[in-house]
Amino acid sequence: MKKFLIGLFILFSTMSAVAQEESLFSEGNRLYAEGAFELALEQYEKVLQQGEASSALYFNLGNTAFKLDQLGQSLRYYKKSLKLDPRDPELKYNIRLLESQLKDQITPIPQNRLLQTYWKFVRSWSLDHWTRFFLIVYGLLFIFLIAHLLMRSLKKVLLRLILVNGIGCVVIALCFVGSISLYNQTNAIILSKEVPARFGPSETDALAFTLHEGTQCQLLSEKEEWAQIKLADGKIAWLPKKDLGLI
Amino acid sequence: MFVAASSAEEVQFTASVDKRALTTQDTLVLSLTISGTQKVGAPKLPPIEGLNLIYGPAVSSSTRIINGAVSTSRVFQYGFSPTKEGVVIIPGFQIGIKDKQYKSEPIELSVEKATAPTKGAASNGSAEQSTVNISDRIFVEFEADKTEVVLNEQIVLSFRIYFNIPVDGLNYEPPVTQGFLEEPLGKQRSYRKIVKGVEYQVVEIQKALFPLKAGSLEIPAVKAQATLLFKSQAKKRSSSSVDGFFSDPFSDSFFGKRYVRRPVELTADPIKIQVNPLPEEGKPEDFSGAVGDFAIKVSAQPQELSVGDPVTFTMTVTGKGNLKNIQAPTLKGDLDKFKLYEPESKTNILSRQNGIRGEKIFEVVLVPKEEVALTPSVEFSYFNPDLLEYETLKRGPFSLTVNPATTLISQTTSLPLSQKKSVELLSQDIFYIKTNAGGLKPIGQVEYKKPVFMAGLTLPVVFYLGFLLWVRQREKSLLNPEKVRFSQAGRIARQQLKGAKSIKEDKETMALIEKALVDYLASKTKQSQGAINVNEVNVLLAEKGFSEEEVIQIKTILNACELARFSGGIGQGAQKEELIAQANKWLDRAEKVFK
Repeated sequence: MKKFLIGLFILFSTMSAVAQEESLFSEGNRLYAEGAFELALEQYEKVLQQGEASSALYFNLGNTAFKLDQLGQSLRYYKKSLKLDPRDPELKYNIRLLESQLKDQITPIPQNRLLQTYWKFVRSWSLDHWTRFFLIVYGLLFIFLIAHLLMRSLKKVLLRLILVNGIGCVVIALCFVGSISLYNQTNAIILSKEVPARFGPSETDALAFTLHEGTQCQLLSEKEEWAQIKLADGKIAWLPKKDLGLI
Repeated sequence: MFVAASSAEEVQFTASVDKRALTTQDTLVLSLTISGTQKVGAPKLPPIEGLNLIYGPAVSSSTRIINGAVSTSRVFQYGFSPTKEGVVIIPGFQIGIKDKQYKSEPIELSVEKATAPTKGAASNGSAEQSTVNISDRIFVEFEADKTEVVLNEQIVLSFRIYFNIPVDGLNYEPPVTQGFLEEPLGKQRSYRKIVKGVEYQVVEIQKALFPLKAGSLEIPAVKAQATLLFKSQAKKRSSSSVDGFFSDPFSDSFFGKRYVRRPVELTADPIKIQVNPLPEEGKPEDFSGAVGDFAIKVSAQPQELSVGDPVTFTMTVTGKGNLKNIQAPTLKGDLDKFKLYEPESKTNILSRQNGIRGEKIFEVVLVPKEEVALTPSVEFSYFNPDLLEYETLKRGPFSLTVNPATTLISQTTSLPLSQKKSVELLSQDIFYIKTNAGGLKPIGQVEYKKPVFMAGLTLPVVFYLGFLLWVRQREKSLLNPEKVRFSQAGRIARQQLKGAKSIKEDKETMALIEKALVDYLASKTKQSQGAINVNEVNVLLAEKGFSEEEVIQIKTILNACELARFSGGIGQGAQKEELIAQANKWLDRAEKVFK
């Protein structure tokens, strides 16, 4: 009985927590609609502080930051949103709009056509999607394998199904693995208006180039207050951590 | 000359002869041809003065299919020999077909003395004197339908070759004209025609000419070449004049028969055409040179439009004449109120039979500059050569509804493409926030790190391996029937006991109980059922490790069964069930021992 009560309590408390976050979210929406962007941002961030997030939440955070003229922060939230839902057309439009306003133009290292298509394909679905796709194909493969053991009369048909399914399974597994590696890649966005990038992790190191707000880079390593980053065109430099926001 | 022709139901009756000039030694062949039907008998032939019937009638029927049209005919041929010199007239014949009377017309013949030569062949020169007159067998005709015309008037020129002799290769050189606009009139036509009682094959070529200048113009002479094929008649007749004929270098063998090839050249005289200028008197102002007989049709589309929208005037001139070089009809009215575009025209020739007949369509686009109620009217003037006077056709004006340019375009007309605009972004801004939180979940939580995912990965493998082992096991046991028997003995025995319970006949029940137990023992000890001896069961079971009590139990059951089977009286309902329960109980124990 005691256990049951505790269980019930946990259930209710989580439910109320979710309800609380929902209300924070809609409160943020109301403030946003009124034009009180700073207050809206506060409400949204409260949800994050509760340890909960969703694509929509990040989208709204991005919008609010944009309205507050925080281009870098806005882009950072959009990218976070994109990770959870890469198929939202509104989100993609907003990102394109913001990226067109960036000061730094970085030409990515040209990639093999096949690899390009592969990454584009991987990016078109979220990691959770790929996880589900993989499980479905994987499960189907075993269902066919078991059917192959039991149904002697359908052996030939099943063998073909297994072959096709096996190929599909391999392809999806490759995308799944790619998606995991993308997910685990630590990317960052420059939040300050202008940041000097240096050859080493100290103010005394020589200046390599300057970067501007909104530019995306990959985080390679950290040393105290400094972070080593890599740009899409392959350039590597050190930046102060405070100027960066992790995606 | 059609001797007799009747178009009723396409039945025709003609009479023809193979030659009109002959000598007293010749044989005249008279053919009475009835086409369009074959259900006729020979016409009754009255005696003909001056001709002696030698044979006939020789009847032949033919059915021809040309371009899908079936034509049938029946020919009755009679052979005559002339009995006197001079003019012989074959009278008209009468025949009744399907309650209708058909009459042929009389044919005039001239008979000469046998020794006297007949008319000299026209184009052969005088080298040969033969009974055959070449100009009777092949000749040409070249004519214009009129010789006095006005400028631009249509003239139909016909060139015909007549022949009633096998001809190989007809060649025709068209005349080279000057001062005319030429227009072909269909393809060469071929038909049969009877001229002066003799049937000919006719090839006709027609051409339309439009004189381009006034004065006396000449259409030059036309030439045609042909090779005639004469059938050899050497054996029939050995008259002196024919021999020279066959020693001819053109003598040839044709289709196994002897034929004589004779090339001939046929010339038709030139034709003079008097072209008169168009009269100045009564010439309309807008006359632009159209000569012939014309009609005009005008339509304007659309009838309701806005200022600045186009209205299309379609003017169709139909008729016979120089369609190709007629000009567009003139527009009259408030032409200042319209913007005019150059007319576009298209000529369609509808018929080329006996002169050109067709239509010329002119399309003019007008754009009203302001609100007008009427379109311009259309006038077309031409010279009618048959009446020798000018005629002017008038059409319109037509009423037109022109709306001011600002009013909305009526729904029937769609918006011109140039007025449509692709939707353009007026400014750029981000899309509005999402109103639904949409599945909030802990930050950083991904499904592939959840235990469910691991379970999803491992469970299929476990299931598969489980099934694999089970299948292997089953396959193995299937290979060893004794083992199967051993393992399934308990189950089978219980089923048999259950079956025994439901049987009412006591004796049978007892027998079944006994059988179930004996089968069980046989399966478990891997012996055949017959090898189990109830009396020696104790020895067998003791070997297998059964306790003495268990052995006694089974013996008691088996004995009871046996007793009941033979005596019959003992198997009471209650006892029977008791026995089955005991048997089941014993089976439970035995299963443990036999494991």
